[in-house]
Parts: sequence; structure tokens; C-alpha cells
Amino acid sequence: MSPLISISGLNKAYQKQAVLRDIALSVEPGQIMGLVGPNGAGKTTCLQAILGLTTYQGQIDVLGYNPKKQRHEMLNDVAYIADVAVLPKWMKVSQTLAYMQGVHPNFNREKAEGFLAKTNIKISAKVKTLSKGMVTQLHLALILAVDAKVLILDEPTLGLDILTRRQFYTHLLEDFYQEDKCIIVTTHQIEEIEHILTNVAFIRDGKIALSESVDDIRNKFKIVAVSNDNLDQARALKPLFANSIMGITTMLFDQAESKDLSSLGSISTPSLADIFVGVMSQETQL
Amino acid sequence: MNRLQIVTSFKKEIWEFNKTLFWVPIIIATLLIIMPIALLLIMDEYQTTQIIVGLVGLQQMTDLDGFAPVVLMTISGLFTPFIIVALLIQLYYFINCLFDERRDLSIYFWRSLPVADSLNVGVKLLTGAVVVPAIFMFAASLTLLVFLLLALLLCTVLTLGYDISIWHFWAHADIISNLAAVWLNLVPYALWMFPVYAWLMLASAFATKAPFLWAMLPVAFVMLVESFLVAYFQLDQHVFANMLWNYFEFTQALLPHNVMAGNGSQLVVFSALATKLSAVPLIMGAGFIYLAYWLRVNRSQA
Repeated sequence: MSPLISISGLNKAYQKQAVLRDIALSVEPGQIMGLVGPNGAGKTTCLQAILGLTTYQGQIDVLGYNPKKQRHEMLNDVAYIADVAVLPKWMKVSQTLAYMQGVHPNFNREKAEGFLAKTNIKISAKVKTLSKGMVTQLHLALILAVDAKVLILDEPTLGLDILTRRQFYTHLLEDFYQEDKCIIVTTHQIEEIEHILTNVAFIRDGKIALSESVDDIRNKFKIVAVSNDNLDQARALKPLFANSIMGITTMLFDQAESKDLSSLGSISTPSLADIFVGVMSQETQL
Repeated sequence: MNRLQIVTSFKKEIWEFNKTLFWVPIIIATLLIIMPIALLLIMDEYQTTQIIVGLVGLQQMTDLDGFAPVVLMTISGLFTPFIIVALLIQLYYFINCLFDERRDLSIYFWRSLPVADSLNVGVKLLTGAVVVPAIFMFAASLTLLVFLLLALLLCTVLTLGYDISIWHFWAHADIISNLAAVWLNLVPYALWMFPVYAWLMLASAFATKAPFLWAMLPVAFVMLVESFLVAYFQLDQHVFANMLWNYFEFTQALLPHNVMAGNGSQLVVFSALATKLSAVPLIMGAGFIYLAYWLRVNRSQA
């Protein structure tokens, strides 16, 4: 299956300060990729490069388009929600619908109105009168009504309460996700979207530290609650990360054999958040 | 890019300023209509009598060749307050059109949609240069229509109540062609002001704060430096300041010249404005617009 997005040798620098370094990624149909990294890691810049919103060096192919040269043609099939409330505040909800209908060939107004009917957002309301959660809901309704092949979300639920965040991702799965589409999402709340991700890429200092399917990652990494007697033995296996709380030390191991680990303590499958912390801590130590 | 995208992009610009573009022309029109009616109502009896006498005199006039230019001047006078206010709104629009979208971050939304940056910048330029003054001129035309209806009413009252007939003036007013001539001035006017519009759009695209100052300060700075150099080296003239003055001055001297050149009187202003056009300012304007476009494409996310 050919990838919907393929990136190779992506580099970007702001005034000689490298923010993206030799990024290579590919996203195939049906994948929901989480691009996870600490603040300033280069997530937003990477997404902006994919969208052709910033200059870059390297190769990016999105649905066969070159984002640098064919940005607005590409955006017929690519939808994007930025990390801040960006809907113009002076607009009315009805005007956002009319505008999308006028400029976007793949926008379905009835579908958007259907989404909005499930919310408290009135069609006659002005964007500036809506709460932050409602603005996000409106933006999502506009984007979900676009028959896009690729959806790019940059911290879409930043600053929203937990109910709205969950609602957001539920709508995303129910109303957008199909086998022939893909989603790239960046978020700080990785534990909240862990269950929807098929792939994950950890980014740090502009470099991809890890990029694999969630299933492979879960098979690869193991977390062990090591008893105090076995600490030296466990350290010899070079854990990625160790954390001691209330006399119990948990260690994260990469590609260690289960038979070696079972003698150290109880083994469990780590969450993506655990793996993220482990991988990022390892990168820091390096 | 298709027609629907273009039309929707223009609509978006008008939605953003719909209160200003709707209410300001209505306020001007209302004032212009109410003021003469109020004057008529508070007029003393002797003044009314003088007007009636004047109208009787008009009734007897047969040589009405000079009436059409009077109508043209009247229409131009009626349009003047609309054009002046429109110019202020145009300047405000151009200074803010590429700045506001970055300030409220809505540029992320606009640029996430399949609309070319060139279309966005082009629509903003045409909205400010043509659509905004056209809306005010349309309001002025509607005001003229109201005055014409009032004049029609007046003629009827004079005929029925005072046995005064001035209907023959209508045939010599050339209202439609005079109105068309005033509208035609919009084309050279927009081209004449194009470098200013483009400069303001560049300042709007460039500024991270206070776009008005970014528009004014470079010009003021150059003039200040020039004044210093002229004083210091005891030069003959201020080249930059004179260049600006010559470009923007619109004196009476331009009008007789055109009349004497044999142009029809209806096109005097059109011709005068056309004489202000030259290639260099237009090329400079095109350069400013390209830079504004380049900044929107390459710097809007910074």
C-alpha cells in the first residue's frame, strides 16, 4: 500500500538554529499517527512543512503533491486544525459555513450542519461569543465535513476540559476515520489518545527518536516492577528508564527477553506515556 | 481557483467590514437628504417667495445647453462626501487587511483552506481599491435617486399648485450619462491611488505591531533625512518631497487644461485623473503588492 504522506531528509532551520533534522516518516492509509514530543521539539514546524506553510529542505510528498509548490491544490484533500483557536472571531457560524461551501470543493454543508445540530452552537452566533470548547467543536465540524484524505491536528484539544477532549476524539473516530484516510495528531496528553493511535513517532530536538506501530512498540518495550534484591541485576540489562517510588523501582526495558525480565519482578506492558518518558530520558542522558 | 471561490472571497472581505460598509453610507445619505429638507421646512415665507420667483424665471429659460454641466457638478458634489469618507475607510482597510489576520491568528485558518495566497491578496487589493469606493458610490447614486424623486415631486407640485412648468429641464439634464461619467472616474482614481494602496498593504503584511506607524514612519524618515541633507549641503530642492507632492497634488490647473484640450466636459475629471497616471508609480505599486504577497506566503506563520 503506498503511503499517503512520505517524508525524507526533512530539515528546517530558523536563523542557523536547526529545528528539524533529517526527519523521515511515512503515513499509510488507515493509520492514525501520533507525533509526540516535548515543547519546542519541532512538532508544529514538521506539520507546517507537511502543509507547505513553511519553507524547508528535503522531500515531502502528500497524496502525490509537493506541499511547497502545490499547496492549495493539496489542501483540497488535506484538512488541518491548528493548536490555537484560529477561527476568525468576527465571523458568524453561518458565515463560516457559507465560506467553506464557497471555497472548498470537498465541503459538505449539510454534514457540517448535522454535526453542529448535535452541539449547543447556534448557526446565528458569532464566533467571539462561543466558548473555547465550542470554537473547537465548530472547527471540527467544519473540518469533518470536508471529504479529506489526510487530517492533520496540531494539539487540537489544548486548553479544553476533559469532557470536550474525549468528545473531540470520539467524533474524530466516528465521523472521519476510514481505512483509506490517515490522521496525524500531536498532543501532550498522549494517554488520552493512546487507544486511538495505530502508530507513534517520538520527536526530540527536531529528530525522530522512535517511529513505529503502537503494536510493535508494545511488544518491544516492557516495564518491570523490580524488587530491591534484583536492582543490580536489572541495571545490568540497561533499562531505558528507572523510577523509584515507595520502595518499588519500575524499569523500562527495550527489546529485553521476557525470560530474563521475569526473574527480576512482575512484567507489564507499558503505556505510550511510559515509553515516551523512557525514550526521552534516554535521549537526555545521551 | 474558480468563480465561486473568488465571489466567496469578496463576500468574506465585506462580511468583515459589513457594519462600516452598511451603516456609514446610510448615515451620510440620511444627513444629505435630511439637511436640505430641514432647510426647506424652516424657511421663512419671503425666502419661499424668492424661490418661486426664481422658478418662474427658470420656466422661461429656453437655452439649456449649459444645464447638463451644472447637473454634473451637482452629482459630483453629492458624491464628494461619500468619496472622502470612503477614502478614510479604504486607508483603514488597507492598513489592517493583512495585519489583523495575523494578530487574531485566523491566518492559520485561511491558509489551511485550498485558496491561493495570490487570490487572497488580489481580492483584498480589489476590495479596498474598487469594492469599498463602489459601495459608497452606489449609496451616493441611491441618494441621487432620492433627490430625483423629490425633484419629480417638486415639479408635479409646481405644475399643479403654482402653474409653473420646469419639466423641460429634465430633457437637458443628461442624468444617466453624467452619472456614468462620475462612476467612470473610479477607474483612473483606483489606478492613481494604487501605489498608496499597495504600500499600505505592504506595511500591513510587514508590521508585527502598529501597521499605521510602519506605513507612515519610513516616509517621514526619508523626508526628514532629505530635509537635513538639503539644509546641510544647501541643495536646491527636496526631490522626494516634491515627487510626492507632484504625484498627489490635484489642483484646478489640471481641469482647464483638459477642457482646453477638447475633451468633453463630462470626462474632465476622468482626463485629469488619467494625466496623473504614469508607469513608474504603477510598477512600484506592483512591487509593493508582490512583497506583501511574499510576506504573507513566507512569514505569516512566524
